[in-house]
Amino acid sequence: MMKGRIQRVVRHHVEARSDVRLPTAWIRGSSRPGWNGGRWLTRGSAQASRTGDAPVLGLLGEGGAEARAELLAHAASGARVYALVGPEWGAAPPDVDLLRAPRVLVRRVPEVPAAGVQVGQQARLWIGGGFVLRLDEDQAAALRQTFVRLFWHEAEEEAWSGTPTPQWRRAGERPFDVPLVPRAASVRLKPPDAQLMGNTLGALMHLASGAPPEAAPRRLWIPAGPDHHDRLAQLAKRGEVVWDERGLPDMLITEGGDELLLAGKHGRLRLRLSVDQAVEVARLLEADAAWRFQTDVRLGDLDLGSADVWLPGEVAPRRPEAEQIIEVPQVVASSLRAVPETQPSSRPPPQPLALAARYEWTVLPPRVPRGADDDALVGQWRKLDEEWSARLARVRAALVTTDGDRGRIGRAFARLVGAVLGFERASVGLIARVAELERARPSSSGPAEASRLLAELGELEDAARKLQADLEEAERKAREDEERERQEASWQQRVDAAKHALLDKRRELEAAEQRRSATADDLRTAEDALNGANDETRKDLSARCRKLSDELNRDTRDAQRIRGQIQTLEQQAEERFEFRPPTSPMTTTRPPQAGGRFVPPSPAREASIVPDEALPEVGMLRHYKGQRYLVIDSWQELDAGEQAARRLSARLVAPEDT
Amino acid sequence: MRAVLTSKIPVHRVEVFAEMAWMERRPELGLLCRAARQDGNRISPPVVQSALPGLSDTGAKNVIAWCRILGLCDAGGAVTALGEQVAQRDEAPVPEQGVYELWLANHPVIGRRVLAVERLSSSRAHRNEQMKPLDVVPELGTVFRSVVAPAERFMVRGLPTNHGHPAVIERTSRATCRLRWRLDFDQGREQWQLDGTIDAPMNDGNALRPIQHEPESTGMDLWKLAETWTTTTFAPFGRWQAHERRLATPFEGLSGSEQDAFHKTLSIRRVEVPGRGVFEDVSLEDVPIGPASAQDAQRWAMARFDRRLSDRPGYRSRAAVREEFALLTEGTPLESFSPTLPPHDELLAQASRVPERSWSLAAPVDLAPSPVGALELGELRIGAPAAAASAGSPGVIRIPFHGGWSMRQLVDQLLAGATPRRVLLSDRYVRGADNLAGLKLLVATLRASAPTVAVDVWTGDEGTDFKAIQAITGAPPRSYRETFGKNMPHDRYLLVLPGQGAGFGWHMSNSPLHARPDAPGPGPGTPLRWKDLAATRVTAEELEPALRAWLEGGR
Repeated sequence: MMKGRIQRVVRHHVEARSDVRLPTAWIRGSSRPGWNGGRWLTRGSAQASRTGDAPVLGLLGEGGAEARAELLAHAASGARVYALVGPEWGAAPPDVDLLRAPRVLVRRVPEVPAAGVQVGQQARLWIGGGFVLRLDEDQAAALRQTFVRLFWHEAEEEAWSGTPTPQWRRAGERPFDVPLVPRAASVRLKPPDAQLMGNTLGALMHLASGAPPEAAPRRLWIPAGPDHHDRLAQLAKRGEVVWDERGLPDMLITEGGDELLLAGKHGRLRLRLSVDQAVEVARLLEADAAWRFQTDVRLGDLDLGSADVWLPGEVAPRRPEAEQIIEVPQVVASSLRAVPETQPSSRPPPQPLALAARYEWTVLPPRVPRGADDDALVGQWRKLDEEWSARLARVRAALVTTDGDRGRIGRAFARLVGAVLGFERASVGLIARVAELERARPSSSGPAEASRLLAELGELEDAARKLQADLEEAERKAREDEERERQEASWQQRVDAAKHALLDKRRELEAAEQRRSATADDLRTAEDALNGANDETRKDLSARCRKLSDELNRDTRDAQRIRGQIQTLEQQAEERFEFRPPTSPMTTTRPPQAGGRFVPPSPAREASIVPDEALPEVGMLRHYKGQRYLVIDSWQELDAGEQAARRLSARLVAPEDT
Repeated sequence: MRAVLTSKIPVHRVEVFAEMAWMERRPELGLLCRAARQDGNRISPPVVQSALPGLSDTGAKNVIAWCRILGLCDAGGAVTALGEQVAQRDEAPVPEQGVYELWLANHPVIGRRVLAVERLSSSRAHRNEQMKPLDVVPELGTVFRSVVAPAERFMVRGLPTNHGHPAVIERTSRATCRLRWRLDFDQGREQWQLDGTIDAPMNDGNALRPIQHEPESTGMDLWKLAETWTTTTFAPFGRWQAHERRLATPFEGLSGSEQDAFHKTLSIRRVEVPGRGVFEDVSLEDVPIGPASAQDAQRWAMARFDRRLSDRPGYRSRAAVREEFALLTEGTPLESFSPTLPPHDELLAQASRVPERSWSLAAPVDLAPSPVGALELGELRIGAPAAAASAGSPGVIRIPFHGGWSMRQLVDQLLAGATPRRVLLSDRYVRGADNLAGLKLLVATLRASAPTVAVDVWTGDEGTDFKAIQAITGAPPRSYRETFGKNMPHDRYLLVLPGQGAGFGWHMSNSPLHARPDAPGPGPGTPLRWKDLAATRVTAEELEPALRAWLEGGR
């Protein structure tokens, strides 16, 4: 049984492979240097002696450093030196040294097919790997003609020594034609795709590149590598297939004719070997070789410490490996309980040269998907808990408010002191019940217990609401009585004031009527006089009439105004008392408090919903794309988690970051 | 050789009483003088009557008398030189007398000549004390042409005088006159001409105007004149060789262009022409020159050779070097001194300080396709007897310089006993009369051996007369351009397709067409003058593709 936090697990498996067999392979062992030098084929440089005033011809092709050194020596001794060089020649300091020698003419051709030096009838070719082949007279003559043909027909640029700074210039025109080298010549330039021409069956053959021959040589030297293994396997049945990198060109020693073919991109120099030369070349090709092509090789037979093996299709040789550690991709267990036993469905093959393979992999426990949310059941219980807490808080706040109101009412209305004492006793009892319910949570209680708790909470809310309503009604009645007494005192004061003012106004009206009558009389008199007046008095009488008319109008308006005022005062003196309740309800005068009054009034009670299922006993219930996940992070929760998962139809998983 | 002799001639301006005549158009007198040609060049009464039908004898005699007065014939009626001129031009002198102003010039080349004349009105203003003897008496009866108005021709018929000494009033003249006498020895031609300005009055007054004069000739033998200079004019410069018409001069001091042209310009302070005067500061141009000694000739030849190598740098085979030297010396004044081209090694030693020259000579010998023979590498003496041909190596034919071989000798060697069915000559320069003659001789020699042999010619396009070649060979030649493209061969090839057996070819360092006969009309057996020629036998596979294709049976 696993303990502790749930984590990923690393596992391994070892497979033995010593008896596995390789179909074909190049295998490199150790080789002994097997060449002591000959009369025609030598290794290293031995300068040809000068013969009189003969010019020295130099071919500075691939690997021509030694040939160049020999030309330098000839040039230093005063000989006329002619050299053919390739396009890249001239940058190296030794090249510059050659052009600083006394009498040197250098011509540049697209490609120099060989490295060699000819002095008179003595000629030598550097055939590669430091091997120097001395040419016989016939070969030297053919090489000279090849040189001369290239010199006059193929050169593109030329430079000569004897000036402070030798400069390249376009090659001068040839002064004559040079005949092509005949096919029968022992040295001849061939096309770049030329191959060894002789019969390879039973021959000694050295190939520096290219495909193996059709007919099996007695001994074939061909570069070890990944190609042609099928063909080489056929040839290895009838001869040896070996290789050692000696820098040698293509060579063939066979009964039909011995030849040597130098490498070249524009052309390949073919040299037909003399009998004596062929004997020495054959000795070279019979020598020990480091690489050997083999078939059906048992892995367990390879020398782990020294053998290099080059298999088909591989870019480089490798050594056998005692144990190969193979990392297998991570595997996800089908369930938490299956984690310790989970294995990869497949294992990659080991490298061919591994004597054992050790597979290593990591088992991942099932994990809740990234982006999973809490399940709806969790939300329902959380909501119910939040409603439970809120309702209890409101009940407690209402009861606290009721305590404040009770003190204020007691102080304002002495007539209510007795009732207030009764309200206090009821409030203390309700607060005790609230404290008791606050110690319980519906989500922890399960669906049945949660319903009972909610019913009890409802009853508590009703009791608190009734207590508050009773207290408000008592206050309202006390305030209404106080208002009636204030309105009746105000009415009596208004009636008494009107009766007293009515007497003064009636006397003022009588005086006004008298002034009006006198004015009317004066006006009539004046009008009569005007009718009989002459021109001298008419003007004065007319003015008097207008003045008296204006006074009469003013007196009439004064009398009407006073009569109106008397009528109003009479109405006020006869008014009856009538109680007018205030337009707004009779509320308390207490200041607003946090939490407000207890609402809502019964019966608009909130209906809390209780979920049908209980929450899991361990872990977290999550939900993702229609699937429930029960997340646990400890192996100790495995059993309880499995039961809860079954009850809730959920998948038991580890946390996302496991 | 050319020279321009110049001399200033003073102009005398005088007033004189004279009998003059102006040449005017008189066709009847021209007719009369021409008619006299039919009668022994004499103007006789019958001649006059034949020219002027209806004239009486007396009238004819009067006409003849008038002709004599005019100077057209003498007292016997023989037509004079003036009469010949009248016969040619239909212009006859019309005499008059009066006072004239004459512009006179005198020189041995031009004689006493009236350059211009002006009629004057007679005046009594002059006094006898002003009269002076006439220094330059003009040639009487000679027709002069005015240098002011060339259409005007006149003559002085006489200078009437009381005492036999013409007297004149001298006038001051601002005229300038110069004689330019051009001598062209090579062309055998000499001409003199006057130029300058003259103050003869014309419509616009006395302004100076240019002298207009058509060139005239004295008819002198110029090479005889040159002989008279041997000990005078030429002596400071060398030895005049009258037979060679050449000045033998030392090499020292000759410029390169003088060496190459074999001509030199001599600046001479004073030249005397017998009977024609003395001339100062003469430039004698393009005087033929040659070496004064054998040493001069050798130095001269080598200087030309060095300059040729410098002017035309490039690789030269030894044969080309020898040919170049021969070209620079043969047929020149150097040849008779037998200059010598040094041996190859000596040439290299001389050129050792000039790398380009040295390599241009050394490389073609060091890197020759076949070894260069000792004879060829040795010295070449121009004009020396030809060296005997060495036995040589098999497959190589060598004709030494001026070897004297006939074309038949060469053809026999080239055919090597085979009877040719077809022969191809590949030669870039089958052009020019001499080479075509050489081709004709080669073809004739081949057909002398094999009458039915077909001869093909491949040659360069430039300046080649393909029709002339076809006329010689009977087959249209092919051009190098269409045959070889840009890879034209440098050398000559003669390929042989025998009637039986495999074909073969000869790679030749020179052309067989360059052999020249010493006399016209050579035949196959005529000894010829050869340049170095080495022919090497080659097989088909040694040849360039086009030549190989021909030899292998193609075209």
